[in-house]
Amino acid sequence: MIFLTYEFVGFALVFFSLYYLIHNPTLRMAILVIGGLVFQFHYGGWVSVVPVLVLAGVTFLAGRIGGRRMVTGAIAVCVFTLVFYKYTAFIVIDSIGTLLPDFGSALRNTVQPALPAAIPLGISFFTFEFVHYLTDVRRGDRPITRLREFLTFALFWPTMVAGPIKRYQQFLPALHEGLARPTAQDATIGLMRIAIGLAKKWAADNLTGWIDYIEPQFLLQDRTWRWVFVGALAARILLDFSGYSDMAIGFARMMGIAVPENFNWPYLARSPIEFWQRWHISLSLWIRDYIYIPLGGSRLGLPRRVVNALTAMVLCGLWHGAAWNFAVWGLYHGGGLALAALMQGGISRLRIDRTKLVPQPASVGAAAVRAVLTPPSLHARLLTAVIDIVCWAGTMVFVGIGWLLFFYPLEKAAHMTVRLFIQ
Amino acid sequence: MRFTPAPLPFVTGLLLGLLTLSWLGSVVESTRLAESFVRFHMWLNVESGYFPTARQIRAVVKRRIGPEPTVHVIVGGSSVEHGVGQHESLIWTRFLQEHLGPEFRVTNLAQRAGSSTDFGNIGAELLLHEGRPVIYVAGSNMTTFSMDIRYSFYRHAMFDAWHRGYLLPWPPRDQLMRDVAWRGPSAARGAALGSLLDAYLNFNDLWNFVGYEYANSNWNRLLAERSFDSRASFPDPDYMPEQYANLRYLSDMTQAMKIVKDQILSPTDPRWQRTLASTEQMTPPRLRAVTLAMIDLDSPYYVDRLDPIEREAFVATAYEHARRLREIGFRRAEVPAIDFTTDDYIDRTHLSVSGGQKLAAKIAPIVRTMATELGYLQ
Repeated sequence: MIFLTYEFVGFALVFFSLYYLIHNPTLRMAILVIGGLVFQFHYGGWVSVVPVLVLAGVTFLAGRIGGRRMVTGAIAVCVFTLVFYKYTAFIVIDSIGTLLPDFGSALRNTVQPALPAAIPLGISFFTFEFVHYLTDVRRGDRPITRLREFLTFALFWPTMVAGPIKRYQQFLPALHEGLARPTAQDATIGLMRIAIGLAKKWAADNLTGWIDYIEPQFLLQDRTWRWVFVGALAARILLDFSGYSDMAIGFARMMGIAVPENFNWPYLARSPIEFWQRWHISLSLWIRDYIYIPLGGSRLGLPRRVVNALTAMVLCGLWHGAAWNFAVWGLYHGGGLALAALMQGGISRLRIDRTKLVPQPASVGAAAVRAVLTPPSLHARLLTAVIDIVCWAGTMVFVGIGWLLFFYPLEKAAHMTVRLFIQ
Repeated sequence: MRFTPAPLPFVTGLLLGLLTLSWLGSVVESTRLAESFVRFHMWLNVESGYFPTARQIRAVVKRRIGPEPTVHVIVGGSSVEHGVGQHESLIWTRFLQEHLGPEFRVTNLAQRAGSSTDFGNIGAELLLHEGRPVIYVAGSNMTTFSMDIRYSFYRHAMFDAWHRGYLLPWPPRDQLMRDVAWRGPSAARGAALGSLLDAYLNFNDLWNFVGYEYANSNWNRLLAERSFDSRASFPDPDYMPEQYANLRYLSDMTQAMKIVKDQILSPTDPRWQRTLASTEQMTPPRLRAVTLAMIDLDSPYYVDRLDPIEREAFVATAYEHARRLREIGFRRAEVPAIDFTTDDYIDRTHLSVSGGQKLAAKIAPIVRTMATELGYLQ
């Protein structure tokens, strides 16, 4: 956790002192770029700085030069870089090595010397931002013409390690506004947001200690405690990740720069679809815009929609880590999304007057009741509330079991899941 | 954010709040800890997520300065000197105090997994700094006296003491501390920077005070469901002798024998130079001049299983270390456990109550002689 190191405290004190003391927006931008480089170098070393600069250069040039082939080639370079650094060992050792041991072993001997010593800091985030930039330019959006603006986008240190994943169309106006006049109000809101993030991180770290302590005894606990454990696991990841996002958003806000929100009370979701509208929002939107929709989205009929959702979510899972349990976690959520989509499809075939429905498509159960019992009576409203609660509980169970897949190897996660239901 | 306070009152409040907390941290004294202090036991130690500060060490040591002139005997070292294996009521430093009498004041600052270059030397040096009569009784393992500050569990306290000016000026050590603070491993750099900030803001002292007196703020697996209880509510957890009856010598024999054998160094081994250089760097000459280094020996339960040549080499290693420590200015360096028996230990290295009693009886006259030599006693 970089933001919780004393070295970062020193960095932030120097950075913000300079940022507030210097009023010239161009100089402020230079401070931001230098700050980003220092941040990358200090926490990641040359193995981090070189790839981000090279990829930023390739991306910027491809955007400037334009042309479908050039931009597509640059996207391929970004994707290849991500795969090379993050997934080579997984593909060669965990996948091919398991399926074809002899070939895998030979391949490993060949590939091993070329494998990077370390993964560049935040590579999953900056490559996704570059792919977003290039794809949008290819779709016809105006590219960034000034290198310093692009470098500021690429090396923006608050979001470098754990997002949120920015969109350059929103970032640049926010950047210029922040560089021109960061207000005391911005600093205040930013500091409060950081304080909230720190409080969440403290709670998450305490939960981590408890989870690590309880986990070896999971099977010895009674079922209630096993569910409490799953609840703690769910709370921990939310507090940890959203706490980090709060701090990133807070630091950006202290500069007067608004970056996208990443969480919106995800554990209030009443369906997997709604969950992904509330959880790691910047990633969900990225997956939607750059994987799901290009695959065809929901335009090509229900079967294809299901396949697209599954594919997008498997890739989303693998983005979180190079291991099979992440892929299965993605597949699991893809299945949940597909099931929710199927249920929505079923409801739409009931041919009711949709204008009378409250526009909450994610709340599948409630929508169904509203559809059947319009206009809503007290009885209907009560039934809606009950079904909402049931849907919420079902979603939480679904998400909770998903966290077992996320945190533990497959076999262990499966065993733990079974033991949630059987003593 | 829905709630957005006016910036000026918010920032003013924030700064005032931080300054108030910092001021509180600078004035709170771990008085209760100092009054009831026997040793920094497991629940007052980094293992359980409690990182005693240099000011807490100072509070403990200062509390022992009475109106009568006394010679301060500060004990430093590892779990052996800490007294693992001895209930706090039967700890060896109590016997040492009894042997030495009221003219001396014994304070045990040795730490589990510690060395003589952490809490003990902080206590001894801050008293030396004030010109008080001090004898430092410092445990040492067979071949190394000092712990590498880059990897020591207790580096936070060393940096804390260094930034607060509790340590004696010693350019080679000062240079090492600066080097580690700038170019050391990340965790050590963090500890150095944290201590620097704490020297001005006193946040660690405030949290430690709150954690000791009222409530702890972090989950810890050793304390489990009692993690958030105040540390003052935890008694020293070490056992009485009868509780150790079935717990003695449980280590894997092969592993233990390997550790015993690995400590053997020939007098010409080049590793001596490295370890002695580190000791010289970490221990100021003024501290060496008042230090009794005790070379810890492993239990005969294992040593007697060595073949005669190895056994001889093992004992020779301890004496060689003692000789070399004397050569670099340690006033005394002894191997007190040379005639201890299997019953004097609870395991390979930790002393039982009988071992502690023997140790106290052996070193008390040496301490008294040192006090006379140093002019502390008439």
